Amino acid sequence: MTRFGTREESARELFAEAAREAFESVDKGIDASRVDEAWIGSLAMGGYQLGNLGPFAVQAAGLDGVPARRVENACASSGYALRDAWLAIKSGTVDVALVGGLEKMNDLERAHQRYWLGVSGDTEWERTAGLTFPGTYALMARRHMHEYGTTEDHLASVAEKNHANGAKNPKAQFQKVVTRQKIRQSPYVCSPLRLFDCCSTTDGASALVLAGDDVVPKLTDAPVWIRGSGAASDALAVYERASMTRLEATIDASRMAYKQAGVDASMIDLAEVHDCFTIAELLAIEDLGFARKGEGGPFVDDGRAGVGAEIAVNASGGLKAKGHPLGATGAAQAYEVFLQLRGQAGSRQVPGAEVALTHNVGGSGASCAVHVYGRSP
Amino acid sequence: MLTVKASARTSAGRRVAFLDEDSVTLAVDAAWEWFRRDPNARMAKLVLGDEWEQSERKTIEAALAPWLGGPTGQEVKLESTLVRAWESNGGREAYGRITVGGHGRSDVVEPEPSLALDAPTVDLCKKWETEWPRLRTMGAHVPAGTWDRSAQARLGLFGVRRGSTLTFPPPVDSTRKQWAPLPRRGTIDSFTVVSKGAGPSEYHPWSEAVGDYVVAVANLEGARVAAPMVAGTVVTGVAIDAVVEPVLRRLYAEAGRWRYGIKLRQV
Repeated sequence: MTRFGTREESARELFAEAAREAFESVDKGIDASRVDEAWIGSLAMGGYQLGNLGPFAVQAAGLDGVPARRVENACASSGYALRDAWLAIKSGTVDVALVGGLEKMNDLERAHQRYWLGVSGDTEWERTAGLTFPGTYALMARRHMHEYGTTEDHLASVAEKNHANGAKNPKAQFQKVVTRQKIRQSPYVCSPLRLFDCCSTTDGASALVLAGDDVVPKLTDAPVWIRGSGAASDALAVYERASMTRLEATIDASRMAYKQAGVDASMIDLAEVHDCFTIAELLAIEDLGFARKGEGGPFVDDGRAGVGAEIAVNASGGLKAKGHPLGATGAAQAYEVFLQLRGQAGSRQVPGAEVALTHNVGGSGASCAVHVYGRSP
Repeated sequence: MLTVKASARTSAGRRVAFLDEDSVTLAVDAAWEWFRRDPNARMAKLVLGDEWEQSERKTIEAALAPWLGGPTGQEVKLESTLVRAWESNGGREAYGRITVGGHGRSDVVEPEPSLALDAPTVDLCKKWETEWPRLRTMGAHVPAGTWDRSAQARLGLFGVRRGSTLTFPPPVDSTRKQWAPLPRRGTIDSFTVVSKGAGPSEYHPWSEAVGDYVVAVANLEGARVAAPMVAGTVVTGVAIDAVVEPVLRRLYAEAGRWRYGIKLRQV
């Protein structure tokens, strides 16, 4: 993946950079001609190359002629791209796939940027009520506080942890430790969510090479295996859901992925979860089964989600610190898992990591893709 | 043409269809609408209820002055009145009665919908505010045709009943919709205070006028509604489980046209 942040390079250049690294990571080398098909996640923010983004990306990656398509499920776009490519490989029609994502968000003026952030929510009834995504997640946070006693300090503990992790990630957008005091003193965006409870707008691209079981030995002796893949949808609008304190799509997708992988939540060593807002990480920790419902806040605040603790949640810094270039996020989460399971994550390495999970959410929980990975099949 | 079945009952038993802003312009609109419908009407009397502050009275009187002696057919620009009324009321939504009359009759226009299905119909499409800033949409864009198709729900404050379940907004698969008015009382499930600039750009003018605003999810006897709360809620305070009622208000303008819909007000 590229370094995330505000990048001057074009979307084309960013994806070329990410794809180049993906190919170079193949231990025994790979010729681009081995790629059968490509799946590229992107919201196509700003409408730039909204059409035919698939061919646009593979051309940038030097894969002329390879069939490609854009996969769009808001922020879960490349999580779904990964799932679609995995399904194609499992079906036997594809041997080698390129999965990626890209987004250029920071070259748009603010109002234009926010419009494109808004279009993934329920426009007809939720946006028109005066809400953007900070608002919808704030509704969830307020309800979670009401039902379970979650506090703003619990939310701040998520931001504090993820910024500390991001400080160790050379590709993160924000590589600075942020104190809890600074987080708690930042202004409200939509109460109870403050500025530091929200992820940023980010430019970046990510890419992965996927290969079928038969091909893997020719490419590497240290593959990372996708052991399970799950996905689910839910109502677009938060108020239409049965509960505002859980994401059913997360619960359903993780159940599917755990079952395929033959694992349960207690066996996960590290998880890259979709912390677009701090409350989103707490919901994920609960809905993925790492903590009981309502206990996500104390779980993080007590240090149980840190690197080297019970389960490392967002060792990369998460969306909060690493950055969130919408369409690139899902594949970037898998990229972190790839490094971690191969022991290549440097100072943020999770010791003895064997089983990992990625959790990629679209909108305020309308779509979700969960993958379980292992060092062994 | 968009037809609307929202109305206000007047003291004389007359139903006056109305269009609203945050209360001041709501009642003004109602009065205007009433006179517009009666070619023989001559507004001879204008009495404002005691609940109006002095500064609000002046605002309303000034707005209605052109119609005394007969409707002129001209629109009255009301954005500034909203801001002034809001400020003069200490940051709370202004609210009160306006009595208008002529030809020996007078009606009190209560600025709330009665949810009456037999109310006069109103053409909302005529409500253009040409001086409203043409902002670039920031996510609250709904095409006019789509918006109009949901007028019964948005403007009549109606849901769809299936057995004992009331659903709002109406489900798309309701081929035989059994419309039912939303309950007039509910409780807040959750809320957020949207800071300046954090809402869709369509809401920026309102936010500029009233500052931070509240959006809540309310449970109206099973039907869940996400809606902004009326101006001034930040000042008066709000809490989960607080009792609210749905009211019809102007939400925002898009491409010069007012969009009306539900707001929530604490009871």
